Amino acid sequence: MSRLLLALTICLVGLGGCAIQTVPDSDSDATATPPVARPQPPAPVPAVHALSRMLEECRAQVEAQQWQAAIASAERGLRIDRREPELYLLLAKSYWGLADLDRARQFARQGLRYVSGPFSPVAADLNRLLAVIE
Amino acid sequence: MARSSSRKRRRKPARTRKRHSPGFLGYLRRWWKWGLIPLFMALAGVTYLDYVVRSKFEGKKWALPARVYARPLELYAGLPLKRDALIRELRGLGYQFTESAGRPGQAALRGDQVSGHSRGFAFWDRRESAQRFSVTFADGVVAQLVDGGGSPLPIVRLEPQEIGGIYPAHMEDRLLVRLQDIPPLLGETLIAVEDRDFRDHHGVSPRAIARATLANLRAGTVVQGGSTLTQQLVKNFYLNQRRSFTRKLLEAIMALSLDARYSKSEILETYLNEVYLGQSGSRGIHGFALGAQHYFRQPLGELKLHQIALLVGLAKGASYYNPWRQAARALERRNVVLSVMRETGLITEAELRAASVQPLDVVADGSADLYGYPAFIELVKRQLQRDYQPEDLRNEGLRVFTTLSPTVQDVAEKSLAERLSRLEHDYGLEPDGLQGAVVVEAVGNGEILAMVGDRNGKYSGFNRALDARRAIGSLVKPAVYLTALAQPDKYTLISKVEDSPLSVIGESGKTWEPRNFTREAHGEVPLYEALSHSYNQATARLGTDLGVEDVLETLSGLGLQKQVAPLPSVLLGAIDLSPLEVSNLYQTIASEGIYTQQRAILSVLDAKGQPLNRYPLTTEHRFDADLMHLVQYGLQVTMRDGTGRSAYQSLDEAWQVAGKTGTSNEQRDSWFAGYSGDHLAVVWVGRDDNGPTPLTGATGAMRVWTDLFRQLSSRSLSPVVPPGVRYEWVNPESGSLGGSNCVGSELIPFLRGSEPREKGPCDYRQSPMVHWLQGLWQ
Repeated sequence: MSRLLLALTICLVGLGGCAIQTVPDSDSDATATPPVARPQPPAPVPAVHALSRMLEECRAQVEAQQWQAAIASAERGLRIDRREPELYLLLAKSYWGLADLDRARQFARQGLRYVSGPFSPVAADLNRLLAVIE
Repeated sequence: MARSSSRKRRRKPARTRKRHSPGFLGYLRRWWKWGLIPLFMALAGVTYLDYVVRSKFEGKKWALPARVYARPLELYAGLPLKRDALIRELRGLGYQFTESAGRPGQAALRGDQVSGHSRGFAFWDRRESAQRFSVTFADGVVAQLVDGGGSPLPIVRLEPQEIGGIYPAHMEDRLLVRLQDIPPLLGETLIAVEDRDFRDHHGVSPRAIARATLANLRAGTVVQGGSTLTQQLVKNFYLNQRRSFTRKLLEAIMALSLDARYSKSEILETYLNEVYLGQSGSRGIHGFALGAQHYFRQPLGELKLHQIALLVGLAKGASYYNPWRQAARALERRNVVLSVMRETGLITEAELRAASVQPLDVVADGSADLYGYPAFIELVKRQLQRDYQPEDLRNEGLRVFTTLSPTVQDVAEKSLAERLSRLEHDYGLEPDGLQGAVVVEAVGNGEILAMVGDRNGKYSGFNRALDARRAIGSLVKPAVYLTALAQPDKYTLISKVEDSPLSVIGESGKTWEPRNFTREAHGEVPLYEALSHSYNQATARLGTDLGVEDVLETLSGLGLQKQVAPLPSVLLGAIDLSPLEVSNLYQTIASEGIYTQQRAILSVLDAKGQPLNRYPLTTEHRFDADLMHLVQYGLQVTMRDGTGRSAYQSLDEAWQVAGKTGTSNEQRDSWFAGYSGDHLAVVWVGRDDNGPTPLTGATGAMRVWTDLFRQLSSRSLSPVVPPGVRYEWVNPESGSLGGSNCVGSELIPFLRGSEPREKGPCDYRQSPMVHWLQGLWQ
């Protein structure tokens, strides 16, 4: 809305201001841009309930140090959404609990690929775990 | 002298005795030693037969097979799943479609809603209870999942389909059950029909023989056999089907031996697991558990009275009473069995009447294939042998949980078979001359969802998905471009590469002169265009500049596990790989640079439910997501504008996929590897004699792939743009920055820092102001 108001203001102040735009608009918001400019598919129904359930179960299993059960739950969760970073965090914690450091490190790193931002809570947890492992 | 005369005197009486008959006892005294020989021989024979009986019976009796399960279907709101696919899955699990789905193993259809009552199952991680559920769909996605009371359910895990049984030690397929798991009515009916004296005789029943002889004499022909269950078992185990006195004698001796050695329960259990009940392709259906699956797609415990009667009736002659080919005969036989059940008091008169009017109730002919997944089962066997010690595999009652999706498998088999027939028809080829293979994996976890090793998916011979190693042609090209793009200071997607004739002298001194498929050169082309249009000369030049060794290193990073000589022809795919191996490479691309170990097995449990081993998700960072994003972009352009564009003649335009065609020299091999958001599939089409075909990757394998993906419940590819990637509107011709409103500009991804800086002239598509205002509303 603010961009619209700004545009109207500019147009009211002087149409020339709009007409001299010769610089191609470069992409400033890369993450919103589709890789191939084509129609987008309808948004799928998010599997939030199933994913939440798996996350809950997995967190509880990690808490209880039931590492194998937690790994099984995390893998089930990843079949629902393979880019859910917290599932990688829980996988990494489980393997850490099993003293399988290679897998713990790998999943922690993989989780960082899918975090929403470098300062998200999951990113912080993943980084903390990586620091401990390494 | 005196000695001599005395000898003569003594001999006389002897001569006199000889003249008299020695008598029976005399002969016995003289010849009894000779009589021992046949006795010893008979004893040795019996001992030998006893040994044979024991050794074979022990081997059969004690070896319960590993039971192999498909992946369990997990239902949840948001799952891409078509209604028909769920119905197929439930039918595959043997659900009975009823009005209310009130009991485990039942389902009901109401409008768009599918309801079911799961059976409950002990999985590798926990036991799931039986549960009622209802699913509604919208646009090929599960829109709502509720329980029997209408409350939302987050997730339901259905029991997995049993897809086979393996004796892991020697890898036969069977489905055996213990006596206690067999419905008592089935055992009683079998005894009533086949051998009423079973509990009393010693392996051979003189009474049954007398009864049969009388009946046969009366009829003037053989109408009744006098064989006991034990004799039938002996005949099936050790002897041929010929009718001769010697065979009958051996049968009787062995039956006596079996009866003396083993309990009636053991003999009955073995009979129930061994009896021949039909044929599924080249495989014999042995045993009632397998028979129940074959004819009814149901576990034994869920069979109804009339179904039990049919199965028992089939023991008399499965081919003669084949319920599909000889339905009337089978019905008559079943009703005879029902009458015997009534006569012996196993059922009431009312039950007899109700069961007699039931239809045969067998599944549709052709859908009855058991162990219908020979290619996948072969992969499971190899992974078991690779990952387990032989002594682990000898444990009784292992349960093997696999990744197979029966619905994906069925669609893959059908797509391959139907498309190959159509191609042969369209190109005027000899019928059945083409062969093919398909591998389908889940993107991100390397789980093999389907494997087809022959155009007849039920054929259990040569498995092309695993063992047909053929030149992969242009499927190798993404590795060449990946190698280039890993040097962002030298290459971006819009870097120019010359597509023109070249000759390379290899180490052997041989000259290599690659040509384009169309025999045309295209001059300077941007990298992404050379990839998407699969230009050979551009790729060969680029690869030569990069170095074949470097490209091989990239291939190794993608998952290539074999040693390949660094010859220039490698750059155009002169590498022989199986579809499964190719799938491994493309999984790394689809998973944004994460190498994922392929797996067909999720877990193996011993008879006590304890895990023998888990096959955990195993991944490894091989390439940066930024870099792989660029390659993925190239593969999406391939599908939109390149060699794969004809796929969109039948795919939904809104659906994003990425893929690559491949064609080997003289079109001997037609390949396609492509993926959506959820599924990756590799298809090979060619001839077993490695002869040329009229097919390219796009006109052969890709058509199979398209048929497959059109039917799959799969999400569109939705790549997340990594932070290290920046999209820019550029003019690929000039290599300078353009704009969304500039003619010839395209939105191309770059690794940050490698994007062009220089702005070029812009030939507007529309008035800049209108364009700008339009942008505000979008």
